[in-house]
Amino acid sequence: MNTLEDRLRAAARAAAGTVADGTAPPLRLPQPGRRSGLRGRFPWIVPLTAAAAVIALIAVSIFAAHAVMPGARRPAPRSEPIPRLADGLPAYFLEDPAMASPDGLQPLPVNTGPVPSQFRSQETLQVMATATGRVAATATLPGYVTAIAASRDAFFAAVVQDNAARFYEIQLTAGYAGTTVTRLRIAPETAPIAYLAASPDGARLAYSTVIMQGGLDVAQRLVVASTTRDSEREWTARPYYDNSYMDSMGPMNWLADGRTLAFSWNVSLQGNMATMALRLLDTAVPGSDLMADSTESRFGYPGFAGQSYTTLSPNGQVMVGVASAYPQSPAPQGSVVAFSTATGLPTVLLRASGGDRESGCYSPLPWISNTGSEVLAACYREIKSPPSAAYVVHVVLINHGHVTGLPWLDGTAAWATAFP
Amino acid sequence: MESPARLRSIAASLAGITPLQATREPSLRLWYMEPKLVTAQGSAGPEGGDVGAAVTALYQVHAVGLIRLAVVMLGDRAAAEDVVQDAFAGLYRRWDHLSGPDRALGYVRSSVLNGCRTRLRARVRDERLAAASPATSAAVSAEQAVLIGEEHAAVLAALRRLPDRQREALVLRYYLDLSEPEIAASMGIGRGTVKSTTSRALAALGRVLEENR
Repeated sequence: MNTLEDRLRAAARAAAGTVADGTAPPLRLPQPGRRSGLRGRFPWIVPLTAAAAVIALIAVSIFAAHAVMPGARRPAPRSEPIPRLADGLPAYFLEDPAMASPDGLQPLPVNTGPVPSQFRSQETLQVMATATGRVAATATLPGYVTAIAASRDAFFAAVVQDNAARFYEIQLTAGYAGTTVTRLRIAPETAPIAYLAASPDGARLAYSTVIMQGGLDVAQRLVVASTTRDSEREWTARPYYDNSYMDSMGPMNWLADGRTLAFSWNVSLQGNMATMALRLLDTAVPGSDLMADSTESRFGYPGFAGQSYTTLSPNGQVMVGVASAYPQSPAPQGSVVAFSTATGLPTVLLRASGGDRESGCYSPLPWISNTGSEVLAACYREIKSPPSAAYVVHVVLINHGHVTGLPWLDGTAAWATAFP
Repeated sequence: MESPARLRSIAASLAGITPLQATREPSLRLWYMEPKLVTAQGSAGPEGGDVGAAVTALYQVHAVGLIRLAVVMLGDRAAAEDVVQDAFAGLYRRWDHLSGPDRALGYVRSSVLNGCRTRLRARVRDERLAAASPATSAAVSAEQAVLIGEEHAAVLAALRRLPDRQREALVLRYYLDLSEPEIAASMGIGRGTVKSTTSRALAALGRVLEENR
């Protein structure tokens, strides 16, 4: 019997085959003189307005985060922070090699699907030394790892066992040559987990799930759970399709305050221009409506209107992302661009230019420093043009605009990683 | 434990691009070859009143491939043509904002995919508002079934019920035969995300098909 992939290929080609060559209707262009109005004469108006709105939203959110619970205390660190290298990079990171199998398809990363047989009983993660690319330690988890994350001093994993995800903390032992694995008291999660993020102090885990009905994603759900006590909150956004449409929630990261969560969100209804918004949620403020309780930079910055995920630096001052193929992009598609949330001004950290330079970079970026001045990126370089295109992928550190290759980490570019 | 050499070897194999299949879908191959094609044809970079001619030239080369893509996404030829028309009209209106002529086709491609998303969302919304009379989707399905067969129509109907990203990842992978790095570059997401999205999309597609049996 044909595989599902074969059925899909055949169906798509059959549908495309209904459009014969040379049958496109004549192009109907708008009337001359209507190519651009106010925005054409003053192209900076919309970006400037959007930037001002974003800055205001972020400022209000961060201010509110500090204003509502000024006396909140964070739990004491449970171990020493993972050390940093001279250039600010964390000395160790966690990777999950099984998430990128050489056959091209990742084992199903959801709780509800079939777990690959080789991972039903256990899966081994690797703690990598950033300076050498060598495996420093391993951690064996009792099931299929569906998501990983890192705090300043520990790593975390969501592990599927018996159709439910359980949460584990992975601590590096003295000398960073071993690990201890501890199951956390967070309630098992039966919904598919999409993304996982640990607060800087490791006191809380945030994870996003989709709620499915009839095989369709009908709602997004965000859960924030304490790693030290039985405390859990959740936010939902539904229905999936309506006038306030929302698409899938993207990657998220905690800000340095330990309570504000920044996450990517794909919104539409911009004519033909879908946008990837960056939203901020103060997890300490009461509420359960993900949309109402979070602020958004809906119209984003020029060039970030496409499908590229953006990341807000932990100090909340710099938004970094990969530019999309949109007219107002400040740099070619695939470039890494940072925007100051104070001024809205863009800085091209890495310009995608092809040739012997980078053809582009992938989003989300695997690591960003507290100030956003150092960024780790997985980039690709075209070494052979289409139709038989070929690329090499490698990891680079962008430090204040200076790009340095880290070839010993190239092998991790396609893997799931978690950097403190 | 994996050695760094082993890791690099795996990475190299993952980074390899399978040749696009020129004989099967030449126009769609052009669709992916956007920047070089546009530059080579010299159709971009017009001054003054040449914008209409440049956009029209681009349309003549790529319209059919883009309509095919939209038909796969929407299952409706008329809607597909409208989406492509809108995309080129948008390009015409915003030409002055293009920071470089090689952005033109990338812009149109993104517009087509976004237009398909909007259409599908509107269709789902309309069907939910008028749940008692799903005549539109039934008509589309019937028309497709006649044109391409019930099996194919069923698969495509299930495809169109998937979330946007999942649907697009499947189409880029299994219709355009793009490799993971190409899909990642086209969608602007990491290869790990491509893998997870594709895996999840296949699983969801299977579930939807199973439910519809």
